[in-house]
Amino acid sequence: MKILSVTILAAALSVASFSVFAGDPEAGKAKSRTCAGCHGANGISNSPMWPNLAGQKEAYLAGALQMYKDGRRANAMMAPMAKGLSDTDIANLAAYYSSLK
Amino acid sequence: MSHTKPALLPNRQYDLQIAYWLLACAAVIFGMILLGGVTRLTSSGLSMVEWKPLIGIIPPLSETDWQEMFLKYQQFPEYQKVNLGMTLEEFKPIFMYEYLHRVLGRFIGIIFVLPFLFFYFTKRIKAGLTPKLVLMLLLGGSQGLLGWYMVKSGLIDNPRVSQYRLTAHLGTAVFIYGFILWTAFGLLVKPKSQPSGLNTFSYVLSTLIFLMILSGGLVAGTHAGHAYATWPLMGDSFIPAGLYSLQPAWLSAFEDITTIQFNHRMFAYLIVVLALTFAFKALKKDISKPLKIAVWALLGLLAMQVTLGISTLLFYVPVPVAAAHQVGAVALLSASLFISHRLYVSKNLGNQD
Repeated sequence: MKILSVTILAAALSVASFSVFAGDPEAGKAKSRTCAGCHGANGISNSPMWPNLAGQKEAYLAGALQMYKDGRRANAMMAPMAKGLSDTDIANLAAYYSSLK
Repeated sequence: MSHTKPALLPNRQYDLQIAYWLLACAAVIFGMILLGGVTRLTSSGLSMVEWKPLIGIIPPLSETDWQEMFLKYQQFPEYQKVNLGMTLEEFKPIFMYEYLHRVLGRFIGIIFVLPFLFFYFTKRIKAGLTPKLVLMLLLGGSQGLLGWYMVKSGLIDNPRVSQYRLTAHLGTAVFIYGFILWTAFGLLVKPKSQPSGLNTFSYVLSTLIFLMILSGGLVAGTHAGHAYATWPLMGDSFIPAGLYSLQPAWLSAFEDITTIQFNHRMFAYLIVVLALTFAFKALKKDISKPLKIAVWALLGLLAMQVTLGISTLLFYVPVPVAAAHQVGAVALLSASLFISHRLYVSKNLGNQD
């Protein structure tokens, strides 16, 4: 019984983490037009002020956007950008940028 | 032109000389506003970390001078946090933009002061005009100080100039330009009667275009033009999420890039509607030919401004397009001021009757 509940819990957790991190790159691409002004149309930034996103780790991108969104990371430019993103948007964007080379 | 002529007698010829001198100054200031925009857009403004109003005119001439300037720049956060690893060859252009902006500032001072002294001591300035010219001089001088005050706000830990100081610097430049233009128009124009009923509308339009330029200063000062490279939507919607979300809400209009860009867009739509309405009303009336040309110029410049503004967004703020958008606004204001001035003169003419 205990083993069963642990298994179920593990399965539930893996599904949960899957739903957090497995974004849809195509949907992310559609959403990324707002980001492109600073981070470039292909995730390569067009100014030394801002980072490249292409090829960045998916979990890191999603985590950073979450932190901008809830204010744990304070940034005058990213906070307003992240505020309008849903959790799904964040997952999709992270999937898209991490898929770029 | 004989010296026996009474000095205070109004003299059309002297007025014209002063008007052309003022127009020449305005033209150079127009170029200065363009160069200032380019300095901003190429992130060059913080490359000169000292302010030496007199001896600062000497540029680095030798490789040793350049190295010294570059080493000074490296002491400041912009190099350490944004441009770390920049080479001297990469440093030279950003230094040159800021340097030329400062040199042109001094040049404007000279082309203003020397002719002013000449006109003053030859008593060619008509009654009432001297205080205005002195005010222009004071405002122009304060621009140098304000520019440095702005740069100082970026030589700190967070290497970004304050958008408030940037907007004040741009706003003062445009105000001086408009003031000089208005004064020159006053010396040039022969009062002619125009249909009434357009004055207030025209003044409102000129004021709104000036305020729109300040709004543009906030966009530039926060890099808000990079956000939302989409039009007519902002991202996925016309009204973006997170509008006015700072505490207190009004602060968003000055510090939140979403709100700043949204307001700039809404302001543009308002001006388009008002300018079209004004032009429609004005062209139906029996206005003089120069005024008619100015109204058409207003419309043409407005169309250009909207196109440039949208292009700036969609192409991620390319320097030539964004700089053209900035001076396009000044050109639009010039046309609007011309119209306002003609109507103003005509109204005063009516009062004298």
